[in-house]
Amino acid sequence: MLVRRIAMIPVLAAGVAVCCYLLMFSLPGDPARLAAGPNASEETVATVRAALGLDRPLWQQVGDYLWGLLHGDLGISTRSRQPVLGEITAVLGPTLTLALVVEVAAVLVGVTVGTLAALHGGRWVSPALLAGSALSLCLPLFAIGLILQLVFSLYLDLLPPSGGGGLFSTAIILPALTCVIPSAGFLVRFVRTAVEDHLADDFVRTALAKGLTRRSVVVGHVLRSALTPIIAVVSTDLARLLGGVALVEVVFARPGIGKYAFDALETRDLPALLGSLLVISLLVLLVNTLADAAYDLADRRSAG
Amino acid sequence: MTPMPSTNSPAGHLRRRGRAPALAGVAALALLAAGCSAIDSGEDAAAPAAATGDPVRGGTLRTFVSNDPGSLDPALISGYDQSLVAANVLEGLFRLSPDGTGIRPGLADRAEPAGNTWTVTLRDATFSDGSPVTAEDVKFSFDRLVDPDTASPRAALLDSVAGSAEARAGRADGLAGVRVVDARTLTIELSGPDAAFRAKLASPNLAVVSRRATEAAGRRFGREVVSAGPFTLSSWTTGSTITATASENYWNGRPYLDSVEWSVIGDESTRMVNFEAGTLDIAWLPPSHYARYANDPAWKPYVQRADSIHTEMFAVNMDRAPLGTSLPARQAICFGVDRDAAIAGLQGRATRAVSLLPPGLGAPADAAGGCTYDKDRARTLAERGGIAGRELVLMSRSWPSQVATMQLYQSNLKDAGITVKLEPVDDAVYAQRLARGEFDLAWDYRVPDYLDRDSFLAPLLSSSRIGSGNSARFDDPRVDGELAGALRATDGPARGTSYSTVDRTAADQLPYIPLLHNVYVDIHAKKVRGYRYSALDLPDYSTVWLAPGA
Repeated sequence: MLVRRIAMIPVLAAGVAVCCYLLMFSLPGDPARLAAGPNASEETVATVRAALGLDRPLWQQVGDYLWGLLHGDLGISTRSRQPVLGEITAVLGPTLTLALVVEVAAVLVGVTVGTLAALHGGRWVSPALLAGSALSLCLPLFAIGLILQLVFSLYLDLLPPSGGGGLFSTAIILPALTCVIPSAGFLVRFVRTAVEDHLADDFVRTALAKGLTRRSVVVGHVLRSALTPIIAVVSTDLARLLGGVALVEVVFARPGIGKYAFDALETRDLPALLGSLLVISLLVLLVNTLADAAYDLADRRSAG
Repeated sequence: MTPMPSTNSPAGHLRRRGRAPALAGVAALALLAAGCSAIDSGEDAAAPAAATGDPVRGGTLRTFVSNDPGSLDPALISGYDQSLVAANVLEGLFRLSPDGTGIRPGLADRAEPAGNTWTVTLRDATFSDGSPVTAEDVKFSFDRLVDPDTASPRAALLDSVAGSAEARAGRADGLAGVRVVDARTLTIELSGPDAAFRAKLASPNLAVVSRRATEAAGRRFGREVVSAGPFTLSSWTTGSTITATASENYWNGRPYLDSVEWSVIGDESTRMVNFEAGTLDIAWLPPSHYARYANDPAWKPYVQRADSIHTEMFAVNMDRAPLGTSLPARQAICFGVDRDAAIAGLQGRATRAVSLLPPGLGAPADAAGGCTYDKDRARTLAERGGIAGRELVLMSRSWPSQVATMQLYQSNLKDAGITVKLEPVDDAVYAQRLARGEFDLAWDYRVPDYLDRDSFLAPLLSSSRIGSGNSARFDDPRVDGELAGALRATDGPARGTSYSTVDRTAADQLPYIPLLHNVYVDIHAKKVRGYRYSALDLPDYSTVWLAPGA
């Protein structure tokens, strides 16, 4: 099953590439005119159009693009005239780093706090946590980012307000925190509900009756049973993050594939836009495939 | 206010820069090269000067670009962010003075026209890799600009050079008019007089690059550029930072700064947070922060304003009735918008435009007046022009600040009985519709590609530029004649008269309705000294230094 899904990825990727390419042509605006500038003569625009390969028939452009893909060539950016693959590689690193940091932190916080909220239902802790998670979901990302910048960079002077640092740079903390807050907020609510549902199950009562501690029942049985839906939520969130959180990248002046794709759309840099959409699609397919594998694993473990 | 350095420019200019949207099209250089022949004596062109205390070497200036410039290939420079970095990294035969109002010699030691032929003698200069700058490199750089394989958006800069048409069409291998005499001398033969040629030579598009290094870089050229500017590209992290280090062998002396770091920060709030956190030394001052800094005595000296060489206008589609065919209708629009209210909305960061030419580019003295807001007069003219009660489409870009100003004008015009439907569109659609004439009325702007009135008026008004700058599709043989004559004239006053005539004709016929000239506003850290404000918003950091302990 998993092997078949992996084998389908290239086919799906080719489909995505063709769809994206055709979609590009439905966008209003002339990429050659934009690249040449508002004052360029028709002659100059024609030269630029030819240099960008936009004067060829559509079928030929699609064919050439797919042929290039087979050879690992995503084309040349119309804006920078640099290979798109190199540019995407440069911005993909920060996106992957941020996404993984955020998801690991969100899972740790979301599962821990969500479980605590479920176990302490009825006390003041649970409503407070749920109110906090609701608030985190209501706040727009850019607003969270700006608030964190003001607090941690300006008032406390603890962290840099922006920058494209890697895993061990302090510049990643604020953008990561900005993304963790809503991601963890959603997981808190989700995990709480899942754990509460399972706490009422017969197997929990049986386990407790057998003398197991409450902690071991929750960790060994309840959370294991809740694992499958948690994987679904986490994989969806990870796919979203891998697609780039353009607003966070803008607020923290952080390079990333989301902002790269957005800039490409604005400047009608079709190769760059196509390349970034394709890479994002591949990442989403990969995450979904890994999630499927994780489901199987989780099912076997919970069954065992 | 921190005194401005003043060794080479009289009275230390206080021109200023600041916020600017993506001013695609700025490239830049040099002032009204009226007659243009001998070079300014200017060995002190980039000579740093003390503001307070003695300049000291060292440190990194942290500044910004709004978007990753993508490439610093001189032939591909057409955007504002590219020009910001290029002004400090590239070097041509001429360069813009630090305050953006004059031309200074660059790599040219002497450049004198005799008839239609310029003889250029290069100074003893080296590229950032230590190799000498030769006439062969100059020819290579110029040939490369017009090579159809380069597909440069600015190839037309060399249209007046003999053999340009053949080279651009790929029928000739390089420009026949550019000839290498010896390692330090070349001649440039023009196919006819070009009074703006000196200004064009100061464009970053005509920067000189090392042939050997360019060919070695291959596809990487643009990210790896070997030129002879005051700073040398040393690192480039896509979408994040660009760093340039001081060129030890810069012909005009090593800059004081060790390096300049441009962070890619597109969001103005993020720029201000960085400035306030001390991680950015220079920032445009957005309206939301302006009053706080401008009214603070501690910061007021570091808030700088400067008139820009920039005009905002409405372009009228002269091919479409009723606006294009009715002068009273166009006058109704001209008198029907309240520019002063728009300026107030911009916190005074603009001035009224009474002419297409901005004051910094020699607006004719008799242009004073323009259209003063008068809604009753506008209503009368609208009725006479047949636009009362008819809906007109006003196309603008979708930038929020611009839409807000357009809504104000829309409201003004409604008060005068003129119904305007506002259509904000994204940049790509805007450029396409402007070129094709798919609008009644459109917001438009102009900044010069090179600092000469020709670069301002010819694209807007020449019939040969319809759809490629002349968005109004204005066609007047008399104006064409004046523009061509001004470009051929070697006599400064005669050029001035021609441009005055053109500007006055535009004011009479109103294919464009002048609105505002931007005032740039920015703020810099207290330690930044020797910072000159460029009227083109293209600061030259070769004169900047950082005061220790400030």
